[in-house]
Amino acid sequence: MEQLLFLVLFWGVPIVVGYVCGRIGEKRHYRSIQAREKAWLHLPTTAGRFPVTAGQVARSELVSAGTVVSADFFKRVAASLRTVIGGPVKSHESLLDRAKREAVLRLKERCAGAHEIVNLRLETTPLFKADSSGVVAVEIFAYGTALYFADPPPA
Amino acid sequence: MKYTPSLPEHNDNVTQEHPLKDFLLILGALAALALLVFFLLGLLIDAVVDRMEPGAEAALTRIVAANMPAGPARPDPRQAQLQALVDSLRPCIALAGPAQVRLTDSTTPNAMVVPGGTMVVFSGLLQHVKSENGLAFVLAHELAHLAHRDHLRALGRGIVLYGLAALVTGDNSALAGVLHCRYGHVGGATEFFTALRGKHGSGFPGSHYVASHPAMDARIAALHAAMVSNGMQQGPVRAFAVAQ
Repeated sequence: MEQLLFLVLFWGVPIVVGYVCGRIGEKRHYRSIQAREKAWLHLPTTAGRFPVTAGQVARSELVSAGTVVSADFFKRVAASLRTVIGGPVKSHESLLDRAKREAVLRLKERCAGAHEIVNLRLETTPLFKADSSGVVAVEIFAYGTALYFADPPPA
Repeated sequence: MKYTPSLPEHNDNVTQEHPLKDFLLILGALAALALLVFFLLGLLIDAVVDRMEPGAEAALTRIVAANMPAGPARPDPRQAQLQALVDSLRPCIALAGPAQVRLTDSTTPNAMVVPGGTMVVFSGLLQHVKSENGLAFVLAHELAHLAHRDHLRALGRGIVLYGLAALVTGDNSALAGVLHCRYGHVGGATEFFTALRGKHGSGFPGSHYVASHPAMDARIAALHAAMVSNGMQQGPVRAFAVAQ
């Protein structure tokens, strides 16, 4: 009986803490992402080689930004349950979505005066435990070419 | 084509389901599966144990025999006394394998069987019985565990659920039959239970007899009822003096 109680507490407490904290953090992060995306809507950012805005490019520079995210304990347990039966790891979808959008937003904030970003690329690097037994966190690294036009079009 | 910046209305990359739904669904399904496998394995082991040949049981007994610590240099006379009593009960119980008594110093009034046909008797038990008949009833209970191959069933189910398997041999009226066979009457059958109840109330925490067996009062009542319905008579009990 005590062993059962110990098991329930050993797993239950971190799961509940992870779930509550993770939900609060995720909601807050999404609010921040949505507000900032709205604010940065005027800076076109594409993966293509050519700018979507016509004009004389006065200056271009490489810009980069990264973000590292880790799943909460609830997400981790939910994902490992998922690995038993297979299928979409739904618990991690929002996590990676947030990480990618956060990286692109940081990229835009790094070149606040630019008129456009082309050649956007996203790199994903999992961070493993020292003994490679599991993923600790994921780094999303965004980079691209920031363009500054000689005669910027009216915003 | 003109580029028109806009924010996506829906985020199709992220599930809109509640995160708990997926978690609880998978957890529930896996837990149900684990329980089912455990239950089926238990049935399978019971079926195998029931059909096992005495030769196979003996071979298995040798493999799983508990590695008992070496006994005292001078054999305990009480242990020899218990062994003699156990041996005298054997004709009354269908037991194919060995039944080796080991006496352990402990105040707990208890006894148990371990794989390998070893019956561990705690010396506290000797203080809780007054007559040889009362002691024989407890030893017959342990012999019944051996005869029912509960130690082998316990190997399959894991020790946690040993209690469930042991409930099967909670049938004390059969044990009263062993007493009747050995002594010609069932006097002393309820002695141990009455002693336990008198000393510790109706429950004795931590004891194997309470943890995995019916409550003391209910057990005494059931035993009396069974003995009456089987027409078993109470008789004078033999006094039990612990060997020195």
